[in-house]
Amino acid sequence: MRVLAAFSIAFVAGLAIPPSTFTLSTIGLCLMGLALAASALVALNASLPAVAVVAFTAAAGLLDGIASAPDPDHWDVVAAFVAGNVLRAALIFSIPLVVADWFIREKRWQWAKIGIRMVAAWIAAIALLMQALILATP
Amino acid sequence: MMIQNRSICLRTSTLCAAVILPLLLWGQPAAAHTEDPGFVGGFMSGFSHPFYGWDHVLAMVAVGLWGAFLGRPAIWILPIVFPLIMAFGGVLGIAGVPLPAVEAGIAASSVVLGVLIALALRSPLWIAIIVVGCFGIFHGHAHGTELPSANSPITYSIGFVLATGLLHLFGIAFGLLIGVPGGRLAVRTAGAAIAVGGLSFLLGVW
Repeated sequence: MRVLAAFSIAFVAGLAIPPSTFTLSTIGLCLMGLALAASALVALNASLPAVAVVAFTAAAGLLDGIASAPDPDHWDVVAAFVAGNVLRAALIFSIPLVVADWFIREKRWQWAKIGIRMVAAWIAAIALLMQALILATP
Repeated sequence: MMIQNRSICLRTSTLCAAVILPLLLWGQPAAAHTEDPGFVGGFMSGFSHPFYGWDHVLAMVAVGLWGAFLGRPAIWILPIVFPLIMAFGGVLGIAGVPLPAVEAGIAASSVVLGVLIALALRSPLWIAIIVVGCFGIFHGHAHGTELPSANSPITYSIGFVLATGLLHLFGIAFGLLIGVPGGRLAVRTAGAAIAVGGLSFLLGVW
């Protein structure tokens, strides 16, 4: 819950940052760097303190928020946009969290942890490729 | 009661995940659709790419097969190491760093891994990682050079990494046959078949 709250708060904070502050490629590079670091840590079975995990997710939420900044419009349109984005981000973020937690803690399936590490390695590979692609694109 | 509610909540979440995740993945090809069938597109193009080339298929299955043959922890370490090093090869391809004899390297990966399985050679884990990693660079380079021209590079990457992982899993599943009577022979025969297939690619017969 702490992780989810940190992500949502940081996401809303990110929405408040003017879109022109950072270029999209810079945000993409940072997001992919974050994805690479997080998934590589999972793949390598490295355990992080809870504070670091919260910081990771807050950074991801902030960057996602910056990348999702709404265009200026009537307040109710903007409010609906923000609410929809928070819901979307929370949903996408919480699904892997709940599924992983269920398999590992509730079901105690040994292979589930290995499966999650394999999926993390795949995500790390994709993030690394995306970083290279962003850097290679003029 | 609370436990029951929690269980229902978890089940609902899993159901949501089961419904939403495929939609997220399958929602992409429509956006990546292009009228030119020859153009490298999105998820489906990336997903189908490893299946189009038998040299890729043989090598990916061989990695899983060899991992299963070597047992724990290689059974799951090799499929973790391979995509990571393959991505490094992909970075080289995207950056335009030339790599000599990429196609020969891909074909050689099937030959070497197939022979290792057929001869039932058990190497230390670190050697297995180096062998698989070296070949992963060739496979990644081949994918990486195609990536910049993709219509949707991220969904293309997700597709081919996912397909690679599924081929590893197929190899692992087949490799687990070594636990049943006659299974060891079946796995070694499969290794020999992979080596022959790789050799035919290397010699340009296939």
